[in-house]
Amino acid sequence: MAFLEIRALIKNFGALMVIDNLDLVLEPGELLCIIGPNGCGKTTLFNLICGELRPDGGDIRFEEQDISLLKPFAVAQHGIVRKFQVPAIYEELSVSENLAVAAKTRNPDLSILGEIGLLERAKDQAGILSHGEKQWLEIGMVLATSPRLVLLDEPTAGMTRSETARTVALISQIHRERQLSMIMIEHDMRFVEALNCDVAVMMEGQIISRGSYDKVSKLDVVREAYLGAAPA
Amino acid sequence: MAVFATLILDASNYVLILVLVALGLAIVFGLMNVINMAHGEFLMLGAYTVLVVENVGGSYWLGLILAPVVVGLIGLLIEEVVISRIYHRFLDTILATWGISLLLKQAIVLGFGPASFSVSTPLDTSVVLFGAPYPVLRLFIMAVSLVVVVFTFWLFFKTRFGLAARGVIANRDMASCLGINTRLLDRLTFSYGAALAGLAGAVLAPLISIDPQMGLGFLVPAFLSILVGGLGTITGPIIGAGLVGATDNLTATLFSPVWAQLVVFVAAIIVIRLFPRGLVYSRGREL
Repeated sequence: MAFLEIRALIKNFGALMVIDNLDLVLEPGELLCIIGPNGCGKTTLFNLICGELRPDGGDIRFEEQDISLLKPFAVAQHGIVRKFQVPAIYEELSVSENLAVAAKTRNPDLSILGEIGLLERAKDQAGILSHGEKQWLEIGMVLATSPRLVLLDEPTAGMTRSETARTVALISQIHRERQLSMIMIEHDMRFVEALNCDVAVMMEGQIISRGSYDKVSKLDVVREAYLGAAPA
Repeated sequence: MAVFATLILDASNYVLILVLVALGLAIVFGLMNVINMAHGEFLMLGAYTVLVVENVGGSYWLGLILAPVVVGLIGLLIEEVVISRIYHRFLDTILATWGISLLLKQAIVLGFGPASFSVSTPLDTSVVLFGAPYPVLRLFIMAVSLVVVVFTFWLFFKTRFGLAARGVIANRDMASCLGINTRLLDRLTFSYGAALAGLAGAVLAPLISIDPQMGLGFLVPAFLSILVGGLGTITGPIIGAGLVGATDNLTATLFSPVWAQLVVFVAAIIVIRLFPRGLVYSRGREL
């Protein structure tokens, strides 16, 4: 039984087919990076999994249950929680209050703040955090929901090199210690390489290849788009 | 001293009733970005609920309990049938709720006629306060308003519902992705706002004439209270109601109701000019 199973998924925006018969399977505890050029449908795929969009065909099964027509809050209640590309934190609330909203309790597990390195900033207003810290806080908020599958949309977008390195360590640690299933959209190939996980390559609404970083980095399309090399 | 005390108590009475009305409006706007033009008619329905209960032989107290329940349920129905379909169309919500306001008023005219009614006066005694007799009913109304304000603060700042509501206000999409049922919160909040107006109508019923136009007299100062106090907070409308209500009541008593209207509007224009986002603007910090 696959943990997450997506079969023949289709999504059209008018005449444009953004997701074209896409298949994807994720096993429990698996960490998967999705790469692909802008406009290939990565974020649309996340929107479909999270219930923000409804598919025009195919289905999305989570632990054998069809979730393709569920609303976002119902998908989240199944344990599929998403981190947005632009940090979607509550800037006017404190760091610990952000965690409280996510955990839906006034007394959230503050050890999560230790995990993401923000324990000493628990009482600070979230709006004054640096960009990287906001990204980590949002990861902490996702963890506070006790998720079973985490979707991270470009978790290192806008980060400095040192922040990116710290994010690699954070995600690796979360994956290792919590045995959490995670799917990430990422453009930073150094980040993808450092994570040392399975990589799926998306093109024109389909997954055209999947395997280790070493395998996919040899593909012409990946070399052309990300590694600056001309196709062979 | 006695005259001064009565003046202050009367002003406090009006302020607290205004708080009750403004709070419902502010909560609905804060969470759903809906300016509910039918809020005054929800108040009217609360008063008519008391009237109906008394006409069928029930007591004022039963009417007082039933009014927020009945108006809350009517609010729930209106939210489900009309408001939920136009949430993202701000101007349309104003037009739609204005239409609902006209509809409710005409429904009352058809059912009860355009005439004024009155209900019995409960607690028809006085106590001596600061050397002057003061009606117990008015003290009761003040107590009810204070209890509702405290309850609303508790609801929004000390409960999981409030935490979720504040999450939705600050970032609806994120809240939804965190598993918060934003639709359910919309229903509950609109219903709660309507119930507050219904309760205000019920507590006011023994003090004023009950007629189809009674809502407007409270809707305008309630809107002014929110604009003066600040949108997006709970404390804003309370402070706004304090300023608008006290200015209105004291000026009306000391001079005339016409002067009161003039002073309130001029003061509101000055405050809004100096503080365009209200006295307690907080970018969603509270609500």
